Amino acid sequence: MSFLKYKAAIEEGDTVIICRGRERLIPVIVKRGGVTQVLGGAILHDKLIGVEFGSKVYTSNNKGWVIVLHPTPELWTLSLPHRTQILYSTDISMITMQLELRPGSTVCECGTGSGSLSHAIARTIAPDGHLFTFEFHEKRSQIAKDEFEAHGLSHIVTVKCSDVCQEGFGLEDRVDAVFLDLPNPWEAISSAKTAIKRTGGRICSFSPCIEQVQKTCEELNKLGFKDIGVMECLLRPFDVRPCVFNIPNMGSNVDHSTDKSKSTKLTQPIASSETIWTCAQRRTIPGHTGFLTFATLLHKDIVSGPSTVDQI
Amino acid sequence: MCDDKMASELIEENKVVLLHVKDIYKPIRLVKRRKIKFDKISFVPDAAIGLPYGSEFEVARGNLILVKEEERRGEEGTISQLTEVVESAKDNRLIVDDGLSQKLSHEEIHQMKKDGMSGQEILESVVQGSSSFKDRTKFSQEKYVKKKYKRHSHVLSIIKPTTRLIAQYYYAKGPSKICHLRLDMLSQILTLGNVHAHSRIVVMETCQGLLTGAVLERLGGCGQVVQVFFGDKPVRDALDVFAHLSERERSVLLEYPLHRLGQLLTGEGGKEIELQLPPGAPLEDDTENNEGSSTRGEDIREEDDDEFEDEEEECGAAKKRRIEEEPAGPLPLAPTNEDEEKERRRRERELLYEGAAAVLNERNMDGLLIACRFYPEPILMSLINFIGPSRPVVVYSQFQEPLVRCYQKLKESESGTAFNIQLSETWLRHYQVLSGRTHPAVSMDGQSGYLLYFTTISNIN
Ligand SMILES: C[S@@+](CC[C@H](N)C(=O)[O-])C[C@H]1O[C@@H](n2cnc3c(N)ncnc32)[C@H](O)[C@@H]1O
Repeated sequence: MSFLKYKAAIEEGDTVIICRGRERLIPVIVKRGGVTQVLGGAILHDKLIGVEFGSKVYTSNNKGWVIVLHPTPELWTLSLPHRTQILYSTDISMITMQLELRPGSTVCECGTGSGSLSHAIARTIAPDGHLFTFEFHEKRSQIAKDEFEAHGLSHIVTVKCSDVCQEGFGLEDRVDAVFLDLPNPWEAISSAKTAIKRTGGRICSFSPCIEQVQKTCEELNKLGFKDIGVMECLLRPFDVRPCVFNIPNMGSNVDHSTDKSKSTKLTQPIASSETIWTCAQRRTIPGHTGFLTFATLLHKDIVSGPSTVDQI
Repeated sequence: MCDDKMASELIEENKVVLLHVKDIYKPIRLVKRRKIKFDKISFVPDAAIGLPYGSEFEVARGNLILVKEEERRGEEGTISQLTEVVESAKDNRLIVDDGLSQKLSHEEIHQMKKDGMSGQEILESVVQGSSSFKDRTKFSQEKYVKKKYKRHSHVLSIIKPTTRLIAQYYYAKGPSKICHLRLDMLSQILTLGNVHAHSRIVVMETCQGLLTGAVLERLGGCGQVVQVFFGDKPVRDALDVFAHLSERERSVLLEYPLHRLGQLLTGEGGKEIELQLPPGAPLEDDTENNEGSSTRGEDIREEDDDEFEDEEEECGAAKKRRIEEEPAGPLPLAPTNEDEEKERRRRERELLYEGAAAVLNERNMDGLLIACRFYPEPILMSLINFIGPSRPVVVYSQFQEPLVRCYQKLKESESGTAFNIQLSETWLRHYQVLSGRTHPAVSMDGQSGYLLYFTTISNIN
């Protein structure tokens, strides 16, 4: 199975995403004889094999059902087992765009965490780009590695278990972009600069706290990064549903309903009603994820003075 | 390998690049000895050719002069240099804003510019000419220099275009021409649409080709894009600015006219509708007659930045138009020749459409992206038929209401082909980060537009 290419039908060993309505998405690795419990009952894996992605599959008691979806990095982000805080698609979109990622880009990332961002990066830089992802927590690093393998991404991702702030990235003039999501990003910037290609590149740091941002910007500035920009991007979801609004009786001859068949006798307190599809904001939404700091490293010949300048 | 890209990181002649001055980006084709006018300055680009992208230049006496790293002060450097040497006051009690404290007149400053003095030189004179400068606090001195720097500095850099910058350029220049598609929304369309190498994407946009270009960039020459378009040909002016895309990367782009979708959907081959195009008013020109939507009482079109109109000639639309006007070969001698030419073009186009129709007809495309000024619901409900199951669909609109209609339609439709439909907007806030003075930007862009997205599922029931 590969996250990189859609296929039509489910085979044994595939990772599929199963879900119902707005309930949580569940990632399932399909095994012969396997069973996954969902709210409505049990899903027998044998029933999944051969089924087309995007189909409805019933539970063994035929009472409940689920939809089985082909995995994408976005569905994975919504369903993956959390080992750390993770990045979600709104920030991931901005990061991908601002780091100018595209097929063929080489990227380094620290830390891997739960691999939410790593999957999205790998998808975008495939088929010939490369992601070097660093994580000093050995177990997390190993699980991420196994996941990339299972998701057909291991040829694009190299997982390294090391402390980037202590040992650096160990890369020189290799990458187009660097992404940092760790408590003290400023300690990794110098090494990031070394890792970036001679022709220059982009860097991003994601930090929840403004103090981290402050220190990061100072360090970026000191090391000659340009176009330093800090932003925050929040998703504001709406709930869309049909809503019935009553129209009170305002005395005879006043009938505001558009559907005349619904209007009742004019002696009743509620004269009629109107159904409108509404768009409501939610009372509680994530109000902060983190600040995104972006900067550009220009061609190294420009930054550190150099060879081509004499041409003029 | 998907492509042989990442070609040159050095500035080349005849390539479209982005000029960057202050917060403005401007696409321009660099031609040796050809004068470029930009932001009230003019110069020939010759000195830049062969230098790395990102190089900074000062304009002096009509030429570009490379700013060397040692002298590269930038805004911050200039500020500290000019404020450190003079005294400053503790507070602003002595400042009266009567506009009289500047000894240099507008005419004198203008003359200095005409004489080709560098921005740095002018800035120094302006600061020296301000009698109240030393009475200001350090903070207000910095603010003053910053303001003047913005006005007088001629430092520009030459940058390689990328989707990030191109989108920002179009949004700053005239958001109404790209359906107010902001960078964060564009980025979400690409991510939520799972656009990547090898995907086959249907795009319907009226954003000057900005979305199409961004999708092409994410395919890297592998996969397929079918741009479904309104009118007699797709508008893709922005593709000229995507100068970093190779021929290979562009080759995956197909096109298919909206008004022939009926044929594909009903399976009636051959029966073609001829659109009655109003004479003299090309349909694709959405800036002239906003056919998709218009807001009564309020003109949703915005002023174009006239300042840059003359350079517009050098790249993009205008250039293409010019090429089209001049026939490539010798002038046609007789009208029959012209007719033949027309017929040849028509046949070529038919072939192109047939190719696109064949791709669409598999009805197994990997994603659908819509960002247009038309009422999206019927377009969505038609195009969704070409998308395979378990694939993402993303519809962007500047307005919320049309997307609510889409939502309603999807929910009410018998076949139930949409799963987990979401409607959202985004909130994008920039920050000023300075030691002791960090805060959110005082004004923010409050119009992200709206996004509707879902995953397709097989017809259930
Ligand atoms: C918040 S998580 C990253 C989440 C990730 N971006 C995602 O979307 O799943 C931060 C990770 O960085 C790791 N980390 C922190 N400091 C590190 C360092 N100096 N070197 C390597 N890994 C580090 C932590 O172990 C943690 O797993």
